[in-house]
Amino acid sequence: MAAAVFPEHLGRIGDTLLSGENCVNRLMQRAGLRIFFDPSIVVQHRIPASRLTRTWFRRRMFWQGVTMNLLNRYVEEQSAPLGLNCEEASTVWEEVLIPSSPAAWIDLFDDNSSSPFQEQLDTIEKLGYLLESQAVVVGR
Amino acid sequence: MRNTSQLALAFATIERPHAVQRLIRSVRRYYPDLPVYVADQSQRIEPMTAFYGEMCVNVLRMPYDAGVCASINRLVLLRSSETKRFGPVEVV
Repeated sequence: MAAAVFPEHLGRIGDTLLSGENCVNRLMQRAGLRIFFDPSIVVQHRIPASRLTRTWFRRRMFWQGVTMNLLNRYVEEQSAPLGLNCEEASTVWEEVLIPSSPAAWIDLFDDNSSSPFQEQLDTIEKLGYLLESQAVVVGR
Repeated sequence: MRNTSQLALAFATIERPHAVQRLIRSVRRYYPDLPVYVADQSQRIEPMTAFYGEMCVNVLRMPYDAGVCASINRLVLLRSSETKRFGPVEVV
């Protein structure tokens, strides 16, 4: 594990909402190391009102999709040179449904959409994943 | 108190002076001698200088918004000659 470092192209930098700083956990799992979780630890997280809007959640989920793509690639790239078990599959989407009409795109960002908000977020996350796989995400 | 002679606390921060002060004060209550390293990416860390000194914190000044990963990597490098194991702690 000595060769692994925290990937500096992931994590919050600037205005993007990239995450994935914890990718070392995935590498540790593949290396057979133990990760401890203590459910009794209570953490209070102060969340500003600006992060409780639907607009922010859409941005957050888009960048989550971007992160997942970058994170999966990083873990795969690092695993082989480190001799780690590559059998554990990364979470990927084999099919991403792209809104096929202007109305469908508008609906994706409509606060009054008839679609459940969770569905909007799922689609936006997948779009982030897809767009990053095509190397067309800018702003990072 | 457990033996902490082989432990150090190292973390990255940016523009969270009050959270950093709370964390370090809390740590110092229980672990007064624990080596503490902070990679601070804040635009201005001068307001924290006195606090860091008072709490015996080793400060690594990072470029503004250098990133969490870049900051952690610098901390790891800083401690790599004397630290055999690193335990990343994720708080979600």
